[in-house]
Amino acid sequence: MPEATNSMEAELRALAAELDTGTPAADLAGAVLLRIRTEPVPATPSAAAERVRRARSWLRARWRAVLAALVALLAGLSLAPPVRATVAEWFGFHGVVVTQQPGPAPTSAPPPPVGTRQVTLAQARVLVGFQPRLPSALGAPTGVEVSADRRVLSLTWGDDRGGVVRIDQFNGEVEPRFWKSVRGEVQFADVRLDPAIWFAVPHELVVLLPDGTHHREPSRLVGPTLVWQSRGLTMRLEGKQILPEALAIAESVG
Amino acid sequence: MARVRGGDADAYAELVRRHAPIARRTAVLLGAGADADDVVQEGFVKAYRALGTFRDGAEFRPWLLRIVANEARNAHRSAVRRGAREENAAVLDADLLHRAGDAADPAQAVLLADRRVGLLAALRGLPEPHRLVVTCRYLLDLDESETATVLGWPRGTVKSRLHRALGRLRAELRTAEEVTDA
Repeated sequence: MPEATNSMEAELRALAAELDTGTPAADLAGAVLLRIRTEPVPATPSAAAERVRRARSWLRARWRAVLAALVALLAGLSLAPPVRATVAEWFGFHGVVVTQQPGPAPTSAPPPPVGTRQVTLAQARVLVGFQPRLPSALGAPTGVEVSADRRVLSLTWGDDRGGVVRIDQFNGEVEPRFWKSVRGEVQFADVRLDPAIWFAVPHELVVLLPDGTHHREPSRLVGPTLVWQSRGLTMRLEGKQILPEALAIAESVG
Repeated sequence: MARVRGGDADAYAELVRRHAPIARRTAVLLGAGADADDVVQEGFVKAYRALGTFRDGAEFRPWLLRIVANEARNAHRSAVRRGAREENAAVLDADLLHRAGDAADPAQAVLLADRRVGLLAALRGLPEPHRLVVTCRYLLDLDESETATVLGWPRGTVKSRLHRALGRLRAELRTAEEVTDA
């Protein structure tokens, strides 16, 4: 057989012509659009983003030196630098604003507060103006609460070992309500076909009022949280430490 | 691209439709197997999310295919981990060959088919970097610079690995023929 490189190339191209890799799913474009509909419009790389990128690669190359300098500085001053909330990155999501802050993440958080059965589900429905959505994986909630401004429905389930699962539901069309200060990674996930965000590390939760002001009064440290949207409602689930367990409950929401 | 960044969803749908066939081919040939449709969809969603890092003036196709290729390799690895298939079985499986029924001489067709199956098996047997570079360059018909983008290697690496890969394939097929002839 001929030994030239060309013949092997020709043979590979002939092979390529006979490989049947099938056709793309017919509804691919529709499925993709459905999943990106709640995403922020992709940004053109801005001058600011470019600066951040350069700063990152500069840091990557020199982090040891920078860390050594910081340690020396802190040891010298015995002072923590003033806490400054710099918004480095954000994801838009109905009713949720996520900011990422530098600094170490808190290592643990108290379990979510247990709700009391203040109202029945039927009463809650009238108060918040939407049908409460229940996860079949958990059965009837032990606690049902409606926020004072009648916007947020909170359902809780307690188990025998003191564990608590809490799901907050609110109408996705309202203004951003939860302002989260996240110091660790956030992860994208899917609840069935709906987009979701998983906050694996404990973080602070601050409620943002419809007039744009946020009040830190009920601000509390929350544990790993899954936030997702489904049919016009935004839902957040607390009380499960790992994503698959949270997803299992989220996907059972009817 | 300007329209996509301007928030025009239809413009992105158009990009999806235009690049769907090559994205699927990439997913299948890099081992996505039965997960190919999911891999392609995930690739387009991730690409949209990452559009902020896409440089103006760059080519969309290799940039997208790099994301799809990474997804496909992840899907393949987790399939192997799940024990769904024996290692590498999903990559370049002989089932991908559609039997050409139009060859005039059936004996000739059988010979040709054997040769294709042999070539695929030789490709499967290559070390991963060599298999990847041949897959991109010849099976996906990407040029050298696109291949470099998809695999994230410098162009010089693409060139040298491709050269070595072709050499190995030739040696492999020659050995196989000698065994058959003996």
